[in-house]
Amino acid sequence: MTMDEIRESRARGPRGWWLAVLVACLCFAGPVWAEDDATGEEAEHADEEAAEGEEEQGEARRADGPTPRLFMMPVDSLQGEITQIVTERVNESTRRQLDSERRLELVPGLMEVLGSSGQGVYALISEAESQYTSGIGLLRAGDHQAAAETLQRAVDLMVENLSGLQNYNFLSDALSNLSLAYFHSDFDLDARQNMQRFAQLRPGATLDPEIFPEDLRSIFEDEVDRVERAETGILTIEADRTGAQVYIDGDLKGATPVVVEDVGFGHHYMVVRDGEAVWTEVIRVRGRGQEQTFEVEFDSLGQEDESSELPAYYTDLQQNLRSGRFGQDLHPYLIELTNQTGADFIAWVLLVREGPRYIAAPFVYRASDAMVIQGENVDFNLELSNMRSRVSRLSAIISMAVSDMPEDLAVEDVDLAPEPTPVATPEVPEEEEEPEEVAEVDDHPSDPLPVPGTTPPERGPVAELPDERERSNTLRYVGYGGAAALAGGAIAGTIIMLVRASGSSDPTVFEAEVEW
Amino acid sequence: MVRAISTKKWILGLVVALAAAASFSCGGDDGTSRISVTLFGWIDGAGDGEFVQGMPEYPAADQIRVRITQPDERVILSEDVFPIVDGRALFPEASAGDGLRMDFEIIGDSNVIASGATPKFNVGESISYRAFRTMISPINAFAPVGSMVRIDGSNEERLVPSRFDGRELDSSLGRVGHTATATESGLVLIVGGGQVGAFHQPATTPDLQGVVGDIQLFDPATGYFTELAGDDEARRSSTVGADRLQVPRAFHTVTALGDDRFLVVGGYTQGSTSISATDSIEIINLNASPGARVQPLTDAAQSPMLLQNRRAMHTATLRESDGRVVIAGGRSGNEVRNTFEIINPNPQNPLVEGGLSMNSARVGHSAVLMGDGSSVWLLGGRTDTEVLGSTELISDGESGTSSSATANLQRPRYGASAIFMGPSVNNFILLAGGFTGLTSGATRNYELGRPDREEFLTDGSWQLSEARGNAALFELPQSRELLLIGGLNPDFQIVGNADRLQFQGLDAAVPFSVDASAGSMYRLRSGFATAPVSNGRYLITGGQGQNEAARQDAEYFNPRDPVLPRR
Repeated sequence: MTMDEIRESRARGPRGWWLAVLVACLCFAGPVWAEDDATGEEAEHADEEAAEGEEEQGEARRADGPTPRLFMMPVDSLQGEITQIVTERVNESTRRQLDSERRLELVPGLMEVLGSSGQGVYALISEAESQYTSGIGLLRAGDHQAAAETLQRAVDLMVENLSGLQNYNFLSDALSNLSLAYFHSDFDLDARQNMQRFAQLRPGATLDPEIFPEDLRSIFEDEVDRVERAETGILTIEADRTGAQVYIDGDLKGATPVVVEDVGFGHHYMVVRDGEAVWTEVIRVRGRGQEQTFEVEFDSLGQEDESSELPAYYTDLQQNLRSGRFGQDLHPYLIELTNQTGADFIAWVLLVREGPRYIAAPFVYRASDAMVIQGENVDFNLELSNMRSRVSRLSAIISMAVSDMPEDLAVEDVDLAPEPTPVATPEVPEEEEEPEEVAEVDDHPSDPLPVPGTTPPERGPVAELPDERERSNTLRYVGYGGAAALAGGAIAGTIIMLVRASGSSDPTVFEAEVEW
Repeated sequence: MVRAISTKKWILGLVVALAAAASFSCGGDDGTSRISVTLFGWIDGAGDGEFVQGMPEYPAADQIRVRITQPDERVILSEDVFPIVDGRALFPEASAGDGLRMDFEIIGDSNVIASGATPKFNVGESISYRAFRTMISPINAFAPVGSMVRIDGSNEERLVPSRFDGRELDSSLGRVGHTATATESGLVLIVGGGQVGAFHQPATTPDLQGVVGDIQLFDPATGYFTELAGDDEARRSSTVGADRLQVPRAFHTVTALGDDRFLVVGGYTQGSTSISATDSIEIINLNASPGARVQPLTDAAQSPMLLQNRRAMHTATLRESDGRVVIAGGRSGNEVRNTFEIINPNPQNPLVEGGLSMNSARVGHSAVLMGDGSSVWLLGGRTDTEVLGSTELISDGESGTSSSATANLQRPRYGASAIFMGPSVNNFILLAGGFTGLTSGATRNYELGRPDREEFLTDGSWQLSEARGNAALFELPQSRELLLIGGLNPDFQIVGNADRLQFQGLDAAVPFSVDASAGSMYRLRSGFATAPVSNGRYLITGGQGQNEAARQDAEYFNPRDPVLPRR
């Protein structure tokens, strides 16, 4: 194509007009798109409204049928790299949110679920209940000695595991029936002791005369009389931590350090809780306004090896998930967990640190067909200051997953673990040698921009000087070129602004400015 | 080799393109949300004090500490100190999140002299810009609420004390017997009220000259009061009385039910010739469409549900256990009520259960929700012939809800301030101050009690800074200290200061240490309505000056309760 032909084609084409129109449009459109007046509140509400909207859709989809039971593994971090404080906070908030979801039923934690397998405090209390029921049956059947042995086991289990005892009426009832069983077995001393303990725990109770003989009722009444005459003591409960919750006989009395003045004479059951740490003690109150101090030393309890109370399949499952690499090998653990918990679904969330944020990757397993899906990732900032909206989103994703289990999100093998950094030998690009060669070669396919301070490479054949006609078209060329440049700049700038406006910039921070 | 366009022209085009791209890329926002705060101040000067644009010249003030916090989570996200002379502070990368607030403390000689804070705000995923105008004022002191207004006929803007919105009313704006309640979006809801003539004894029938049915919202971000019915959309709804109470009233109760729904019960309304107590119950729902935000509580047949007994000056207590509201005592005409009623405001199954007997008729009593979230303890009060020392506990039993007598107060009183202290104080309630005589007399004493105890605990040394009744009592959210504002003294004269109570322990000789605020109210008033605001201050609205007409303005008390991070 000759220069004349090129000039002529440019002069003729309508491209110049289109270009100008495009530039004008883009110039006006760009700033409009860039002015995002959406407020932070609207964005946050959009998150929560989206979560609520999805919840409503989920409810519409599930017309009838039992509410799916979901077991939620504790939120963990990839390879345990994130501090437990973070995972526990996310876990607590997510469980709370899921617990309020109407589309599913959140199964309690494993320790509460495990029954007569004999593991964990709650399991032992459950065993105590079982023993108690058997003991009452034996008592009614007239097998008093067997009843006494069984009921004694029940009382021992309860007293040894006070941290798991929720209902103290259960303990008091066991004491009175144990006394009865001993009485009928001619163990008078044991009968007396247990009836006295019952009176100290429940001085306001009444004994059914058709069940409890006169002798036992007399012991009870005498002990109640002693308790009432002795009145209450002044108990000071101190701990090596402040704010630990103090329960006596199941009633919350305050937080350490606390003075309790309404506990009567006799044996009572004290439980002091500070987060995961629990102190239990059977205390003997002297009454008569006497001051007694009880020291609670949480630090002396030492680290409880909770994992020793958890079944092996569960701890293995946790380890596998924490590794970030799992697949079909998880299924035996998941099957066992669903059998133990009665859950229809199991969900777990892995937190991964990625630069200035935590990414939460949720997974849901459906027991009926062993399908695992991976939900949309949710990010939290490092300070967890956007916890509320992010947890809302996370629980909505899990809840939706339980409802729908979309097959397109199904996964078989997951690998979240970071790839080892490849040690790559950088290839020596051929072009790097060119500048040296280019400086010496006469023939250049294109002219590089001159770099300040260097000898400009020898140029190739030089275009002829423009003649007069070419000079007069320079302005038009510059105009076209400038318009093209402006259009290019407008397109680039608009794309940049659109990308920013779409939030690809860091949403975890904001700029705050104060003036006075 | 022939080239289509010369090198120079390519270079020119490329440079222009780069410049164009640069011009589009630079100079605008950099893709990050921005919060911009402009401070103004209130300074007590000679005379009345004044608002000042920018930083007031507090004596010795040389630094300003700025914190970005999450008060509800008790987290401090960022903190820095800047010289006041700089005139500017910048946090280029503050953490985004929910429920954020910017707190400012003016420091001089290492002491905090004044403070202020923005209302709470959220910064989320999308880019946003928000501007606040925030007031700085001396700590533990009162200051008028300021707002920026444009002077008519000019472009001049001026900071002035805020007042109730009177655009829709043709009567005086001042009011007493109104209520102030915090909303979940950080605003304060002002409901009803009226104008009074002669002074009336506390807990007796007031000399109401008129009552209003308007509902106003106070926005701490602007300092403006805005009437709901003044909303353009409400006007367009063409509903008669849209977004106003159907029954204008004063000395009623407004109870927050959650989700920005509020229960309005009873009160005095203006009849043709006199005022009378009403049995009306209305629901304010701020989430409803403009024009439909106020509705009567209705049954399944859409008929309005009413109290069984008309009453005003009663107490209303929300039971957290079941969302029902216990309405107790009060008066109607010359009768002091000896009944309580339970309202279930749930729109799915609304219910009013009335005619439940109390042990004693009482008005001006205190009502406290106990730790079980269900029992309501009524303490003291008065009838027309005596000041009561009795107490009774309204609780659920096998045969329904009933009231049972509990221990007597050490000192009979009414108009006292009461609060449930929680497990950290052995679940005691604190009862402070109150009136001890029908026509005069107030006490500075406080007592601690529990329903299961045979007697209240007190001592001669357990005292407030001065005797007062009808004071407003709040628990500060961070320090958990107690704040007692205003009230009337034994001669029923206005008490203009505030007491700050700090718990020392039950084993201390005096369980609470008491510090009185250095200054007094900007405008002395009683019968005001108070509510906490999300900027950390307490809003005091309306009320009546001594021998004055009802007030239409508002002021803040600034208690300085800095965010205390969780241990």
